[in-house]
Amino acid sequence: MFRNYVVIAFRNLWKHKLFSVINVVGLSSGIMVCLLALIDIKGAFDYGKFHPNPERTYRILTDVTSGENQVVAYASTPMPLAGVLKRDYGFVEQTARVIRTYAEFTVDRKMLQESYCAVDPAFFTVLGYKLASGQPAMEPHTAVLTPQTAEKFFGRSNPIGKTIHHKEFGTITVTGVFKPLPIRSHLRFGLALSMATLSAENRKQHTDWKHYAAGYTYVALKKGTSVELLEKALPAIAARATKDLRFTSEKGYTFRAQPLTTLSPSRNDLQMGTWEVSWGKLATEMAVGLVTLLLAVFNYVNLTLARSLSRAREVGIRKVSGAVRWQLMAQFMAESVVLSVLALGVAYLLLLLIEPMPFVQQWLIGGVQLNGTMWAVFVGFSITAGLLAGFVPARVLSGFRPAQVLRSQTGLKVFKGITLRKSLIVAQFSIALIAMIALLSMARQQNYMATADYGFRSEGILNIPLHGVPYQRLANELNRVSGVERVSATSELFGGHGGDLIRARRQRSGGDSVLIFSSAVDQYFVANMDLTLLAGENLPEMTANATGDGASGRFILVNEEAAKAFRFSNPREVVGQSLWLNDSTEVQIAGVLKDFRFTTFNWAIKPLILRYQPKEFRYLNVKIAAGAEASALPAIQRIWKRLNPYEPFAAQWYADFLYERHSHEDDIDFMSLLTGLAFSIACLGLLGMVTYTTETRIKEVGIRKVMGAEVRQIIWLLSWDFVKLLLLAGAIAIPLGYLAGMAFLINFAYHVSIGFETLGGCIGLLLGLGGLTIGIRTYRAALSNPADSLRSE
Amino acid sequence: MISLQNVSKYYPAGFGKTYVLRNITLDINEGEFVSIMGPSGSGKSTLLHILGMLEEPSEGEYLFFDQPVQKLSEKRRTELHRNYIGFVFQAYHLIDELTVYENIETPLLYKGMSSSERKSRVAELLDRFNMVAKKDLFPSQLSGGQQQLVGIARAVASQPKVIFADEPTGNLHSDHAKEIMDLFKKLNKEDGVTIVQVTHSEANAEYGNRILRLKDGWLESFQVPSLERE
Repeated sequence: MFRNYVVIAFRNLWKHKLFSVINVVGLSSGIMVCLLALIDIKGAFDYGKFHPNPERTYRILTDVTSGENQVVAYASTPMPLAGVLKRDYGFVEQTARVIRTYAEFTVDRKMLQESYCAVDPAFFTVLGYKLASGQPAMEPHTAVLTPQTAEKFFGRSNPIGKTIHHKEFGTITVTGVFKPLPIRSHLRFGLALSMATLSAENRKQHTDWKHYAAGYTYVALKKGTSVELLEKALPAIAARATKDLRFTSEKGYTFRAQPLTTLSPSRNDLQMGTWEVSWGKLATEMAVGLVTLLLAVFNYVNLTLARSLSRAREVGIRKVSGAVRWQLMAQFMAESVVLSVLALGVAYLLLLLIEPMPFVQQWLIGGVQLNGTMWAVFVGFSITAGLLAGFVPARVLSGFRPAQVLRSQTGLKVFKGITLRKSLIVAQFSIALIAMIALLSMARQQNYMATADYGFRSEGILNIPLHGVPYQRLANELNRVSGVERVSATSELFGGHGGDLIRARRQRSGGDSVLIFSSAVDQYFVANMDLTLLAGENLPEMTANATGDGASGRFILVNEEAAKAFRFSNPREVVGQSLWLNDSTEVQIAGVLKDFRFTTFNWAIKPLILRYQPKEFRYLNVKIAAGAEASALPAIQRIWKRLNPYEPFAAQWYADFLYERHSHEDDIDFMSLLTGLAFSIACLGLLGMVTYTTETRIKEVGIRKVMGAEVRQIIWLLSWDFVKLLLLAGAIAIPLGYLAGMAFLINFAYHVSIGFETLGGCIGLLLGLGGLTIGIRTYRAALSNPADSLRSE
Repeated sequence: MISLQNVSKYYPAGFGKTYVLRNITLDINEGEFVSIMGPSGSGKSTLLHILGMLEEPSEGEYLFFDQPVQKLSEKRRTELHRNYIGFVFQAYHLIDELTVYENIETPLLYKGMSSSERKSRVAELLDRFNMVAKKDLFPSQLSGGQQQLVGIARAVASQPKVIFADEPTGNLHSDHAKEIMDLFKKLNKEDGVTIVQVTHSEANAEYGNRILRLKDGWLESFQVPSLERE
C-alpha cells in the first residue's frame, strides 16, 4: 500500500511539472532558511562540548541589585572570589579567572591591536583550550597565541620563544600556540597572557570585591560533588564580601553558578556577556525560517486545491473501490511528503550555494559540523513540514462524495476553499511586501549614514593610521608633498563610536558631572575638517617640540551641545571657563564649535571636547587638493615606506571609511536574499493559481470570444480577480510595513523617512511583478482559439 | 437481495422540494440482470447511486441482504463496497496515473489482500479479459472499449455480488458496446453476478431479464421477470 502511495505520488509530480516545480522551489527555499536556523541551534548547543568536564564546571554569575532595586545579571565576578572558593571550600577542584580586553602589542616594531585574555594557570586545564605546540602560559610575562595571531605577529616562522611588547606589561615571551580555537566557543581571543603578567596597577583589582565586572570566574568541582554545595556557599560568600562594601549606586550583589553545559544558548542577557548564542536570536531565526516555509506551504495548499477538480474523480473512484477517508488522506499526504523530501535535497544544494556568504558564516552556520543526528533532524523536519502542508488539502480532497464527482455529466464544477485560497495569496504578498518595505528602509538608512553630510569634511581627506610612527615627523614630511594642503592629527575617526567618554565638572569637587566624549586633536584639525568656530579661538599654536600634555593640553574646544550640558545659554559665555576632567585635570575652554555629527546616527549629537594630547594621536588626516590625488598618493606612500618599512600602508579616504563603516552590505545582501525568496515564492504561487484558474475558465473564454469579446476585455476579465488580491495585499502591507520600517529606524536619532519613494517603489514592484505574472497567463488564455475550447467533449 | 420500500429522493429548492425519485418500491433478487431505462432527468442515475449506497434516500427503507442500509455505519458501508459491490461508469473513470494492472489492483489493495494473492487475482483477470499485453499501459493509451474492459475488470476484481453499471456503453461504438454487453451477460450467467445497469438503448436493455422504466421519478412499469432463477 505504502509503495503504491509513493509510486502514485511520483507519477503525479512528474505529470504536473509546473505544480511540482513551483512547490519544490518554494518549499526548498523555505526549508533552506529553516536549515540555517536548525544548524545554528545545533551550533548553539555545541558551545560547551569541547571543555573537558562541562558537567562539573561552572561559571559564576553576579546578580547585582541596582539603586532602583532592579536585579541585573553579570557574567563576571569580582576577582577575589576564585581565591576564596579554592582556599575555603574542599569540594572545589580548581578555579580559573579570565580577564578579557584588548590592547596594542608591539612585535618587531609593528603595532598590532589584538584581543587577549589574562588567565590563571588552571585556565588551560579547566576550560581545555588545546595547545598545538609549546607550553601553557603560567609564568609572569608569558603568552600563548592562537594560530591566527601567531601568523599575524610572526608570519610563517615558529613564534615560540619570540617576544612581544606591551607598553604596560613590558616584554612577553611566547611559550606556546593554541590549536585553532573552536568557532563555537563562548570565549574568543587572539592570545592568552598569564595572569601574573598584568601590571601591579591592574592586579590591584584582584583583591577588590567592588569590581564585579572585572573578569570571569570558572570553577571545576571535584568528581561526584553535588552542585548544591556550591550553590549554598555562593550567597554566603557574597553576603560576607558585600557587608563592608560601599557602592556608589548599587545596593549589593549575590552569586550563582551557571553550568558550562547551559551556557549556550543563553536564556537571558548577561552584562559583560561573552559570545554564547541567545535563545532570542535562535528563535528569531527559526521564526524567519518558518515564515518563509509557511509561504511555500501556502503555495502547496493553494495549488493542490486549485487542482482539486482533477483529483476529485480519483477520490470518487477510490472511494467506490472501498477506500476509507484516512487511506485517501494518507495518499495525498504521501505526495506532499515526497515533495518536501525532494525539496530538502534542493534546499541542501541551495545551502551549499549560499554557504560562502559572509553573513551566513559569521552569524549562522560558521564552525558547525553536520552529523548523522543533524541529518535525521533535517529529514524529520522536512517530513513534518510535508505532513503539515498536505493536511489541509488532503482533508478537503478526501471529503469529496463519489456520487457528486462520478456523475457522467461533463462540466462538473468542484470548487473548494476559494476564500481560503484568496486569503493565502493575500497573506503571501502581504508578508513579502512588509519584508520588502522594512528591508528598503534599512538599506536606505544605511546608505544615508554612509553618504550623508556629517557636518565635517569627508571629501578629499586621507586618513593614515599612525601605527606607532611619531606623528610630528610624518606630518612634517607629508606637508612637503605637493598636493597636500594640510595635515592634522586625531585620536578618533568621527562617524564611529565617538571616542572616549570622560567625566567633566565645572568645579573641582561638587557640582554635577557630565559624561562627555573626548578626542585628541591638533590645532590644524578644525580647519582641516571644515568645522565652524562659533565663539572663541582655535586651539593655540603648538611648537613642534611641545609634546607633553601639561601646558599645551590646557586648552580645549567644546561643541554647542557641551556648552548646553554645562548650562551656558550663550556660546560666548563659555569661552575662558574652566572645566575639571576626571576630577584631576583643569582645562580652559578656548572656543565653541558648531555642532556636527561625530558619532554614528544612532545617537543625537552629544557633548564633545577636543583637546591637544599628542600621545593619544592615532591618525593623521591629510587634506589633498582636488585633482592632486593621483600624484600625491604615491609620494605619501613612499614616505610611509621610508618611515615605517614593516607596516603596510593602510590609508583610507574619509568618505570611504564612512561608507564602509555604515553600509553593512553583507547583512543587506542576506536579507535581500530572504525577501527575494519570499517574493518569488509568492509570485510562483500566483503563477500557478492563475494558470489553473484560467484553465478551468477556458470554455468561458471561448464562448465570450465567439460572442465578440476583445482580447483586452478577456485579459481584464481573467485578471481582475487577482489584481484585486494584489491591491488588498498592498493595502494590508503598507501600514504594517511602515511600522516594521519605523521599528528599525527608531533606533537612529537621524534617520530617513519612509515616504512615497519607499512605499510607492515597493507597491510598484509588487504590482509590476504580480501583474506580469498574471498578464502572461491571461494573455495566452485570451489568445486561445475558441474552436479548440468549444469542441464538444 | 435488494429491497426498496417507498424510497423517495428530493432536494430542497427554494421554499419547496424537487423530487428526483418518488415512492419507489422494488425488489431485485440475486442473479438477476436488471436494466433501468428512462428519459434524461428521470432519476435513473440517482436510483443507481442509491442502490450503490453512494447516495442516501430521503425517505423510505433500503434493505441490502436484509440489512437496513440507512442504519449502517460509514465503516460498514465501505465494507460492503469492498466485498459486495462493483461499479462500472459511462466515462470509465480509470485513474489516469495508474497502469492497467494497477487500476485493476486498486480495489484489492483496499480490501487488504496480500501481495501474492493480488498478483494472481490480477493476472487471472488480465488473462480472462485478454489484456495481458496491455497491463503496463496507461488509460490514455487505450481505446474507449479497452478502457471500459479495464473498468469492468476492476469492478469484478473483488468478486462482488452485484455490479452497478451507469450507461456502460454510452461512450462506445456499437461493436464495442456489443462486446461489453456480451461480457456482462457472461458474468451474469457464468459467475452469477447480479447486474443492475442504467441504459438508454432498448437493444442493450434486452440483455437483461427485467426492465425498470422511470419517468419523472416514478417507477412506471414492472415487467414480470421472464426467466426466474431458483
